[in-house]
Amino acid sequence: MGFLLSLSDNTPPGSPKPSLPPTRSINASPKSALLVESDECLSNFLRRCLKDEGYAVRIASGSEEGLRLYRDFGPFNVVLINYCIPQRKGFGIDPLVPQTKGIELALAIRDTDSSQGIIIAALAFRRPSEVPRPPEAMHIPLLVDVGVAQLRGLLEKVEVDRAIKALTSADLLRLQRFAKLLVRGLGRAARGRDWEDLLEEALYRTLIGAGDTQNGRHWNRKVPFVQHLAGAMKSIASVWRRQLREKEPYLMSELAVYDAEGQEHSPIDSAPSSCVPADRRLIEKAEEEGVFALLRGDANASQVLQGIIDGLKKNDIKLTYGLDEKKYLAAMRRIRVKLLGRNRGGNDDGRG
Amino acid sequence: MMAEDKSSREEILERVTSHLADSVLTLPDESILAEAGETEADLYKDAEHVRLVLSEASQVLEDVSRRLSNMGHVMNPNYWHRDHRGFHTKCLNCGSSVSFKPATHEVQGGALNAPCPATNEYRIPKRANL
Repeated sequence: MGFLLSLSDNTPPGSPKPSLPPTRSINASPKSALLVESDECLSNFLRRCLKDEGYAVRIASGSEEGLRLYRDFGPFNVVLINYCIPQRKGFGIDPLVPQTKGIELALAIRDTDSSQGIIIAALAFRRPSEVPRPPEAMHIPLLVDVGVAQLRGLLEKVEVDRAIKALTSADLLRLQRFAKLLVRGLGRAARGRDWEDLLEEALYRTLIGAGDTQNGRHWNRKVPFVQHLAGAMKSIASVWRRQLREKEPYLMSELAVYDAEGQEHSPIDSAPSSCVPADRRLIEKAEEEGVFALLRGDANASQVLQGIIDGLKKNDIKLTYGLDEKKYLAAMRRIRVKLLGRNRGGNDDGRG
Repeated sequence: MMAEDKSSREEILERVTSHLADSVLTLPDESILAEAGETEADLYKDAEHVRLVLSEASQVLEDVSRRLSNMGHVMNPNYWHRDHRGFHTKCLNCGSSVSFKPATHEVQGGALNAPCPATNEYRIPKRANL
């Protein structure tokens, strides 16, 4: 199968009618999709699915028309292309000869915009491994089952990937520092998990969130992605904290530990006592004193920290200690830097 | 200065870090870059590392789904159940289960042991000439 056929911009005679100018609705819609599908029934079904997910949809019936629409109106939130589409729809196409221009179109669109989210609907195949693709197309998500849930999951992934690519350096560092601070606040509840674990967990929950409201964290597109992930991380951190408090029961088989020689060890041998050990209290006290020691000589920062510990809000802290906005913000900054930078080059990187 | 009981100490730690974390969200871009510059050696490298963490996590679930799909199993990508051991889901056709541990990216379960026996039972044959 060849993947190098060119897709001409010139509309030959007999080709489908040129697309209409963009309508008000598609331009006003927050989400747009390009659907390239030659089968009318499938096209209607997929268009309805996309519309139900809130997409304004443009439709092309062949690879040529698809590329033209993309160049005229792209980028789209998502481009959904059937693997089995002709170069152009019309008379003279032998129905017995498979028309498989979908991959070529996907690669042509990727050449135009490498960040464009694309899904290939390979509905003529049973499994992704059966779909012939060149190596450069292997990472494009495949829809092999026409179920709505499969499509919804892929759309969620495309949107999330697009949001990840769009994050600025400031956004990324903001997320990192947010996660590090939350993990630092987890203490023992972190159970060895670090800021990366927290951020990953937030993303997993977002990806499964489209259909599972109990376990997932649905991303409402009206909320910026950074805010969404921050909210998800906060919620997960509170679940982790609760898990420690509730002391979830485990099966013995889940806790069994095997050494390098395959010898099983009883978890009871190393189970901690339910009493808080005296040294734990000392460690926590030392930790708290350590934080204040970091801020020794910084009166404003110590005052702000004390205000937070006392449960005061920002304005109350400012009023109580007579700080103006500038001094308050500068003190907050110094506390964050001291806390996150305290062990730089040492053993802490937001690890609990 | 602070209450002596353990829960109070934990609550205070949570309150302080939560307050500080929230304050990061409202900082202007230039402030977050300047602040991060005080503790990180290479800002760009650090930022891109965060992007990598997110991208890899996004790809992991997709890889698991594709692996299962290649064995004929049909999973609802939005219905992974989460408990303290990891994420779990079942094949919609044969009911065999699979679990995925986020910490190690390890995938386990009966669904990985054999192709889905129910894959072809109720399927309409697709275009065979491809």
